[in-house]
Order: sequence, then C-alpha cells, then structure tokens
Amino acid sequence: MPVSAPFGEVLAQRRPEFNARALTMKSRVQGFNGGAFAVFLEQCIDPLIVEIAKLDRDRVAQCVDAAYDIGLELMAHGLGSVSPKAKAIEKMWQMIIPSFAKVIAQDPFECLGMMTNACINMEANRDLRLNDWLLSLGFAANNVATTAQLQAVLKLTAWRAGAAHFRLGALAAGATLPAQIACACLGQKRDMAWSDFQANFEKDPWWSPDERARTANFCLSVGAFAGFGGRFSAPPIVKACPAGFYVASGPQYYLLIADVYGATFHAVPQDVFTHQRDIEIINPPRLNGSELTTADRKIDVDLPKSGLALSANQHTIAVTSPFSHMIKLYPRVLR
Amino acid sequence: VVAFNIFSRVSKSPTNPNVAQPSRSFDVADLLDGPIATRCASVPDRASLDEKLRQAYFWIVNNAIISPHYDIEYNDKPPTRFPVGDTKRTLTLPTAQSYSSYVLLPLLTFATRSKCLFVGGPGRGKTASAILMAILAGYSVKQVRRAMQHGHPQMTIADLLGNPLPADMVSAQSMEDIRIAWRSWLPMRVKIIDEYNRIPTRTQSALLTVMGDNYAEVLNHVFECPDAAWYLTANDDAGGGTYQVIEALRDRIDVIVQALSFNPRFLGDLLLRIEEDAKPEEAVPRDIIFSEDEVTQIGKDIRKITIPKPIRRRIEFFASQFELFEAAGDQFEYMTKDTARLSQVDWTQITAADQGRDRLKDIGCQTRNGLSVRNLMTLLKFAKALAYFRGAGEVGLEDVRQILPFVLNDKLHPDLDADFFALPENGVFRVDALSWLRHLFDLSNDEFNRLDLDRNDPVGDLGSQFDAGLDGLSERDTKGRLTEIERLIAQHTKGRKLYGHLYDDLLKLKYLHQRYTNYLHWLGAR
Repeated sequence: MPVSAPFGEVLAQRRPEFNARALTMKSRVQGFNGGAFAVFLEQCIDPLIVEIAKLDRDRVAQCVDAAYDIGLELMAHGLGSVSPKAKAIEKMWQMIIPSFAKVIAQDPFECLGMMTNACINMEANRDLRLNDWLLSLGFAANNVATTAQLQAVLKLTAWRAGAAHFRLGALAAGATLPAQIACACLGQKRDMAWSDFQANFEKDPWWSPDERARTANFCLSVGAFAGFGGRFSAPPIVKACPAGFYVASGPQYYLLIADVYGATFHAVPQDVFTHQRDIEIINPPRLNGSELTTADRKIDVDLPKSGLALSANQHTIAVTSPFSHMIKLYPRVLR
Repeated sequence: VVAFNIFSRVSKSPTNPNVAQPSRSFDVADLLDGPIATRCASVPDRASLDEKLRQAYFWIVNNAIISPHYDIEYNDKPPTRFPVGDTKRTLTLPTAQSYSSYVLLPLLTFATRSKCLFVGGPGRGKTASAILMAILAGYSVKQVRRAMQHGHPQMTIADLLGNPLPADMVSAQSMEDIRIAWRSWLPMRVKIIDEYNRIPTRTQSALLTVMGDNYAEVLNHVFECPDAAWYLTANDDAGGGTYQVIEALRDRIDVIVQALSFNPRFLGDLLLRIEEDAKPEEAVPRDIIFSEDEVTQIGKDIRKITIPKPIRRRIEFFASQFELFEAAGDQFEYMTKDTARLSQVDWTQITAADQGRDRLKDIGCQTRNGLSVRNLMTLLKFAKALAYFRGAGEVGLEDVRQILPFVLNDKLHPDLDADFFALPENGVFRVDALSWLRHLFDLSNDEFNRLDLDRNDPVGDLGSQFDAGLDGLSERDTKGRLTEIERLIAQHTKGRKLYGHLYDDLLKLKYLHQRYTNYLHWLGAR
C-alpha cells in the first residue's frame, strides 16, 4: 500500500494491533468493506499524516490511532463505499482536513470526529450547500488554534452554508471566537465587532453585513417541483408561525426556517400544520395583483397574479402560487 | 489513544421518530453529533431526558442484554399475523416500535424509582440486568457488586442493615451511645437484593421496613434511606425459594419481569464477548449514565403525563370487575372477596354459593381477589412511565394494555377452579399469567364498548356534576338530584344481575346520595 513514510512506519510498528482492530470490526459488522478501508487509509488518512509529520513528528502515532479508529467506524456505518456521503467525507479528508493539521495534532480524535460528523450531517441535508461549507472551512483553517475554536468554526460556517435553523446557536458559537475568525467564517474581511454582527443578526434574520445582498428585490426561492429534483409534489401552501412557516405540499408537511444564508425544511406531523393559525403582525404586507407592498417597498412578484397567496411573520413574507412549486421569500423590511 | 470499544455506540436520535415534538427546537450541537462518538456531541437537556432513556434502552438491547424478545407490541397499522403449530398460537409482526419487557420494565423501574422483581431460571441474566441498572445511576461495577445483597438462609438483620460497634456495646450507658455501622447499600439510589426468597422470614421483615418505609432501624437507631429503584431477583416467584416470601413484601413489588430463554441463534454474540473478553457492564457509555437530578427530573416529567378521562374510565371499569363477591356479604358494602378471604371459610364453598350470574361472562369470577389501591397506583404510575418513555404526552389505551400484566402479575390471583379456565381454549391461561391478564383487560374493554360507556355514562355524569361543587345549590335542585340518583339506582337494579362494575356504580350512587342528603340537612339547619 503506497502510503507516506511516517504513516507507513506507525502501521508497520504496530501491525498486529491495527490488524486486530480491523478484524474485530469485521467480525462485528456484516459486509465490512476491507477494500474501501484500505482506500480510506491511503487516500484520506495519509494526506493528514503527512501534514502532521511536517508539524510535529511526535504526534503522528496518536493521530494515526485516532484516524484509524474513525476510519473503522465509518466503514462500520457503510460510509466507505461510493455513496454520496462517502464521497463528501473523502473530499473533506483529502482537501480540508490536512489544512487543519495544527489543531488536529493537539486533539486528533475529537477534531477529526467532529469534522467528520459535521460533514455527514451537512451532506445528509439537501437544503445545505456542502461545497460552500467546505470552501468556507478551508479559508478559516489557518486561524484555528484550538478544538473549541474548531467546534465554533464548524457551526458558524454551517450556518453560512444554509443551516438557517442553527442561526442562534451559530451566533452564540461565533461569540466564543476571536472576532477576526468569526467574521472570516462569514466571509467578512473588515474588522467589525462580533457583538454588532450578533445584535443585527439576532434582530433580523435577513440582515447581512454584505451591502450587496440588501437589494430591494432580494428574494429567496425555495422548494421546487419534485420531478425536477425539488422537494414538492404539489404547489405548496404556507402558514406563518413565529419560527418560520408551516408548509403543506401533497401528503408532506414541513416547518420552513429561512434567513439570509438559506432555508431548511423540517418534517412535521400533519396536525401541526392543520392547527396552526395565522399569526397577527403589525402593518401586514399586501398583494395587489402580482404587486407585493411591504412597509418600505413595492416588489413585482414574477408569478401569475391569479391565485397568488401570501403569508407573513415578523420578519419574512412568503408568496406562493397554484402555478408554481416554489415558495418566494422576501424580507419584510430592508435595513 | 481512544480505545476501540465494541460497546461504545449509543443509538442515534431520534430513537423513536414518531414521537410528537412538543415544540420544535434546534440545537447547533447536533451538527457535530454522528457516528463518531466525540466529547462534544450534544448533551441531552431536560426536555430530551426521555430520549436519553430510550437511548439507554436501545444500548442495553443492542449491546448488553442479548434479548431478542419483543413482547411489548405496538402497531400503527394492522400487523401481519401467522398462526403457528398445532395450537395455532399467533406470531405477530408489530408495525410500530415494540419493546422487550425484560429491558423496558427494569428501565421504567429505574425512571420511577420503583421496585422490580426479576424471575426466571438460573443463568438468564437477572442479576446482570440489575447490575446494569445500577450502573445507569452512575455507580461503578465494583460499588454495585459490593453493595448487592445476596439472600441466604443464614442472613441476619445485622447482615442486612448493619452492626452496632462492638466497643460501644461494651462501654455504652444507653442505647443512644451505641453507634451503628450501617451497611453501604442503604444510601444507594439503586438497591439490589439477589435471591430474595432465600432470606429468612425475620430478616425479610426488616427488609420490608426498608422497602416499604424507606428507613432501617437497629437498636433504636434509624437510618433514613433515599428514594431508590429496587431490583430483586428470584429463581422462582411462586415460593420456590428457601423461605416463603412474606405477603407484605411481595405486595411491595411493583412489577415482575420474567427472564425469557436465550435464543441460540444469537450464540455468535456470546462468542464475541468471550473472544473479546468484553463485559458490557464495564463499558456503559457515559452518554446514558443518569445523574441523580436527571432521574428526579424524569420522575417529575412522568408525573406530568396525563391520563385522559376516557382511558381512566376504562381502567376504572376494569378495576371494578374483581372485588364483588355477592355470596360473601349480607350488607351491600361487604359483598367482597376481601370479606370472603378474611372469613377463612373455604373458597370453594363460598364460590359454590355464588350463583345467578353468568360465571363465564363475568370476568370477576376469574380471580380470587380484587385490586388494591397500591396496585392501581402502580398501574397508573407505570402507564405514565411507558407513555413518557415512548415520547407521548399522554397515556394511550395500548400503554395501559401493555403495562397492566407486568403490574398485576402476582397481584390479581386467578381462581383456577373458575369455569373460564376449564374451557380448553383457555387452558393456556392457567400457566401464562401475563397473557391471561392482558386477555382479561381485553375482555373488560369489549364489555365497556358493548355497554357504550364512552358515550353513555350517567353515573359518571352525576359524579362530574357533584365534583363541580355544592356552593349555591338550592334545596330544590338538591332534591332534584336526589330523585335522579334514586331513579338511576332503580333503573340499574331493576331485573338486572349484579356485576362488579354495576356494584361499584351503585356504591358511588349511594355515596352521592349520602353527600346530597347531608347537604340537604345542612341547608335545612341554616
């Protein structure tokens, strides 16, 4: 197996022990894919070990131990084959994880474990943008110095990659980071106090530090027809709730949570949708034909005016049409 | 180095995807939760303690106890059934998440700090299960093993509770001066008594005080014990131990769980344990260890689970079936099995005199006793606990149906001479107490449905009317209610046989009548 010298040395020195671990897992897990595990060692673990060896040769053995166990665990979960999850993990281990070698060397199992878990969760949620997340992580890598910082960076970048439902938790995690790292996770180079970021984001999910995002016609279209890879089998119906919107489409019911970075759908029981009543808001938006009037602007909705419906909560307006499988989301107020 | 551990995996949330979420909240820590067990995985908060309990359950069934018996069956759509063998017994494939009583009941005992008896042959894992429960409470294996009480024929009260210090015995001038070296198991929150039916009768009485009243007494010194979950084991719960277990002690036991046989199809799992020298009790993941506060909180949360009125009515109806024994008393209130039992008159003699009813149809004729208040309280508590464990906000009928046999086993005693057990199709119920009890509840529900009591319950209506209070009730209205009660009693008794539920309805009407009569007198005296 052509692996680097530092990795090969550790494997050779403790060959019986490593083999025994793999055999135990093999006896425990039906269909354990030994071939895939070998590929994982060679293509995913080795690049990290090379980087670790460059930083600190003494930490190599410990990192091999941790990475080896994680690899086995992934194989036990069937994450070593050609599934989309396996591809995502492979991509992360090859392209991103080596750049975090400095922090991984300190606490290898914890860092590798949480990065891998996060990758699996990001891939599993079709509403999230995995590639964007990996890209943001890559940019943040150089500044991360501790396990706690890595944990916060993973959360913050996940939010930026569309995990709107984690917004408040991610903001809290951001507060534990040096402002420079936290701002960088959101793609901001300027040196703004994180407390200002946090206050604005907590007040308004559509607030953005990026001036360009705050245009009058800003619209987030979510959903789409299932036949074209979207989520909905029928044009959706929405009901506003404080957290977002309850959505019904055919036999499916969801909670939709959206903000400036994206939107996520979460399955809910039918009765949750059925029992949801319209929430009362001050100065509600109005639809006149296909013109949407909000407190501070008029927007032309690019949908046929017949049957257009709107629902709004404190921050967001959702417009749906019987002729579309999309939900159009608009900030109620531009700030 | 993180040791590779075959027992380290805890089931991923949600363990029961059908659980209704009272309010949807998202924890960003979930992002870091996954197949790799890291330290930073989301820590369950108060609201997810039921989930932690389910994770503990699944860890035990998947890793610790190789128990493939899913005998607590739930269905969300009609299950597939297969008649098997000459007896055409049914093998059911449940369509919803179902459970193994051997793990679930001890876990509910742990959550409610109740008392559970494991019964079954030697070597079936009774003691091992009890030890696991103690480890869930945060004790080390060593602590648990040292604190476990092993019943034996020479066990004295001092062995069980503690000794007076010898030096004090010599020098003390009064009882207060004698210090007691209390046994280390007394302050524990999980208590294990192995082979309790081998304990001599006198020591059993001391154990009864600890179990029943939560304190131990030696030489006038009292040790107050904390609330605890109790696990007792016995090879045979029918008195096959060295000593007959005193009735009061048996009555303190809340649930009885039978250790079912090992399925040799799972021999590979046993082999792996030998080869790996793996002991599950030594590898319980930290994630499923419960702190004292968490168990207390679970107890509070369980008590908050509601039992809807229609379910409560069905429990009332079921419980009403068993106490009536028409031949046992002359006065209405004393026509009970308890009166018959206290009289010491031969049971068969009295039952021979109990005629007039359809003894096959009346399920009350299948038992030798009725249900005690303690039995009913335990039933309600465990029904709530089961609903909580399943993530439900309220108790469903199936929760009661599933838990009832384990609570009433050894509490509701069958009258094996009853006509019901003589029928060939019911012969199996003479042996299988759990199935008999569940069948009994099914029969009671059938009768409840036949009488249409869900919609037509005049006695319940009168009770609700009374519960609304007497404040401001006029003399005229009171008299009207008295007339209504008398009319209802006349209607209920006219040409009808007396059955258990009717007996309790009549007693309730008499109670209401008395309360209104007293009120009427009070109004007149003002």
